[in-house]
Amino acid sequence: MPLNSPTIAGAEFLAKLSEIYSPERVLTKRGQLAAYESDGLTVFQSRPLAVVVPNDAEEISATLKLCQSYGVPYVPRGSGTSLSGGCVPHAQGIVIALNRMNRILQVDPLQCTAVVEPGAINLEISKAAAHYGLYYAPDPSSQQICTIGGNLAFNAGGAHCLKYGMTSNHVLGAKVVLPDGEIVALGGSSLEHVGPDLMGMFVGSEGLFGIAVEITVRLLPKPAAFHTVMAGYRSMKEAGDAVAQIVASGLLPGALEIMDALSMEAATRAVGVEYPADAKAVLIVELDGTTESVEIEKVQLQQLLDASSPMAILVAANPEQRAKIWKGRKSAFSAVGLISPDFLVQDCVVPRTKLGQVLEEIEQLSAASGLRVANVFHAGDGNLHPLILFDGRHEGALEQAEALSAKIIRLCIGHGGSITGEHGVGMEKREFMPDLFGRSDVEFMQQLRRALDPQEISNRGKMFPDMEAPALRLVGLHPLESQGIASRM
Amino acid sequence: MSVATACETQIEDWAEQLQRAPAEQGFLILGGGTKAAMLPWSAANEAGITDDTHGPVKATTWPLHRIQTTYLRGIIEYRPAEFTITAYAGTPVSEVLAVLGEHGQYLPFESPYHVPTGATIDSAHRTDLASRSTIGGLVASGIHGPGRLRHGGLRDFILEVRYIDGMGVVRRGGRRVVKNAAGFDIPKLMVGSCGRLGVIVDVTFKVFPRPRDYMTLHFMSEQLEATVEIISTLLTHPWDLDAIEVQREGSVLVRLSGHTDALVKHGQRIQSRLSKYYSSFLTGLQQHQAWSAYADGLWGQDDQCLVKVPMSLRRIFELDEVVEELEIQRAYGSGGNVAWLQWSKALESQIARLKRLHKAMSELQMLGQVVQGPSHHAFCGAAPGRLFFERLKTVFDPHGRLGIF
Repeated sequence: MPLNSPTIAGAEFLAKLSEIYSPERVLTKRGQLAAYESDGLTVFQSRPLAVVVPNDAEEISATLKLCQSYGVPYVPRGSGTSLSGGCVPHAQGIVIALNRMNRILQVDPLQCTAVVEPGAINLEISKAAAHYGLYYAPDPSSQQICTIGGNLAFNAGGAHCLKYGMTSNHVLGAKVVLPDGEIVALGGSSLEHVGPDLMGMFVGSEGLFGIAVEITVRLLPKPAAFHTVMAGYRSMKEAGDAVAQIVASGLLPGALEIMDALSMEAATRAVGVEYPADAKAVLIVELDGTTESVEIEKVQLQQLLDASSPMAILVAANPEQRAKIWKGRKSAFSAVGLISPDFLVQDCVVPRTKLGQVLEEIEQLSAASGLRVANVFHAGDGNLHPLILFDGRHEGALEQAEALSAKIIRLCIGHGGSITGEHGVGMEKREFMPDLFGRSDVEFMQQLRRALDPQEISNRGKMFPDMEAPALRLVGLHPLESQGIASRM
Repeated sequence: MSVATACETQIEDWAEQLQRAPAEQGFLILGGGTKAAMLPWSAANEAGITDDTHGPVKATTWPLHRIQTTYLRGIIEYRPAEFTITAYAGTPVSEVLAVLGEHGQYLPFESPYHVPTGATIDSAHRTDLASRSTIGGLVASGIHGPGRLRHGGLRDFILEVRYIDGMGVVRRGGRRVVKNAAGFDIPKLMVGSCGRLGVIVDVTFKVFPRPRDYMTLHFMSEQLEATVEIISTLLTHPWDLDAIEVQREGSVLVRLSGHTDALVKHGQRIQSRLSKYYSSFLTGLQQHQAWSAYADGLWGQDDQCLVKVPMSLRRIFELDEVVEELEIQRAYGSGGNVAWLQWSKALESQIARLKRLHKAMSELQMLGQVVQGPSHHAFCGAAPGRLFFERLKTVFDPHGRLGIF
């Protein structure tokens, strides 16, 4: 009998869970668990022991205390949109699904803040704040479905990070449940803080420091004016050069995005956006700000783009055209599914001035491997999203794609970049942490994690490399077995 | 020996000192020494105030071993096209600003002592602070200037930090790229850490293009209610304001930045929306003088107590009432997100008032950072997240040797 069979493995633990949750909020049936076996990165799959659906912080605290006493790993989960395997369940643990805790508790127009529960959908915050002319700036492509709790855990980004920053720049405070069930407040409702920036440390900790149960985010006034332009180029290099010129000019656009021919093809098929014919790359530039400043900057931008010899320039003449440009860009990941049965998406960052060189080298790696690589990325901050296309039905194809992916990651590290700009390390990139930080500093981070979670039960198996994380060397008895509660049959 | 080699040798030397020192040996990390309240124990015993905001002060061997980070001076790497700059911790802020300025860039959170509109510095004391202030000191203290409102504070622009931990190991957190989501965000944790987690040896910041021009609107409001109304109107409109600072006298300085041609029109629109309040445009020398006077008001005295209190507009009235009773002057910065509490009296009186403020802040569940005033009183009031911090501290500094104040 497999250990994670709910009827055998977790009898006592599950019984205790049932004291916290009403029956419909403890899921243990195979069919119920299926939806939680994977996240946005579907190459990793694992069925948890159970899924619980808390209503409030106290239930989460009680659950974590229970997990602590039985040594059962847990994985917090929002909408499961992680692209790094960040909320793949642990086969011998539980999933804490935060979807019921999805309320926007307060929108405060005086302080320009919103207080939300972790299961609140990113875009819903902006909708709730729209009445006051405010919005929540971080806009990951999945913002229609991803939750703020997941955004916080993985420090999600989006297309507007160069100017507006990432999730960590917009989270002011949170009530969090530490892995031992203790509830503490970090940060507050102010833009300012004193003492070590504990909130900043918690954001992006990938669930390893616990679960944020009430989050205060900063809201910004919606810009008065936008100017969105799409320019087509004959090569990626030309598009990259245009980015360099724009940045060097002193302009600070809200967004600077590049899509290659494969991404354009996918987006056209998915959402019908038309791009300049025969363009090998398209650059999307968006200026935002006051009406007066955008009026001046758009002239400056036009001059810069003209000088970059584009094949065509399309200026969004109205909000609908702007929305369409963004729809094409934001649908690019999922749209790639239309031109390839499977794909892996990478999230490396390189110094902006190395973009052209890195893209050329990725192209060479792609050619050598025989796998196509689509590219759509945040050019303004050097955050690449190479999409490695493969057909998982062919034996060895996944391994081949992973091998190419590893080469791309190491290439970016070698150029002084990072392994992730906004998706987080998760399961997917944990092996590369020592390449990025060195073994000593990775071990130090593990010590920090253990200072809060000695048993490493909180989102076990994420961020740290397999061979070094005791949690991932979990062999032999399951904690429930070692306590005589469960047995393998 | 090159400057960089000398700095690296110094870093190795400090690391070795930390490795060899007995567990009970306390270390004092000093930058430019511009924030007297963070200097160690001196009058603390007499004051009878224990720092109970971030855990009890551990008994250590006296005297503390001194680490003077001003020995580490110099720009390590500046890549204007990447919007990044890396400097040794002891590099004067002035030096960093000057180098950035040559390429039309700046630190958007601003130095508290420098006025970006180019003002001449009036007070001798602020001149002294501005010249001594170091880049590592800014990070450790977490104190920045009015520019925080628009693009973010120190925490939002720090990318990478190299530091020596309490066991004498040189470590690095973050990465020198403008975007990174890998690993724990140790650079942010270092902002405001006041030397309790490690010796910061170098720092990398994201930088931005400097605005082409500035213009300031000066509003007068006699009542706090009116001030709040002005601020909330300013904050909820898409006006891209650079800074909103309320001086003690109830005057509100609102700074706009951008293209010169756009500023006047932009300013007029704001003025007309808030037409019931008297306001005036400040440009050129007038503007410089206004911001210089503002900075002098906060930092221009050498015998004062100055406390930074993060707050929200929602709580401004209750805080204001409490500090009014304590006869403490206040200014409100960053669009009402921070209160600067200030009083200038003899040391004995400063400590007595600090004790009363500590009690009042604790009751309000607010935390303040004493940046100038009697030593050993770095924080007052109630600290959130203490449990989280204490656990992290056991890894950064297992013997509790750092940040003894």
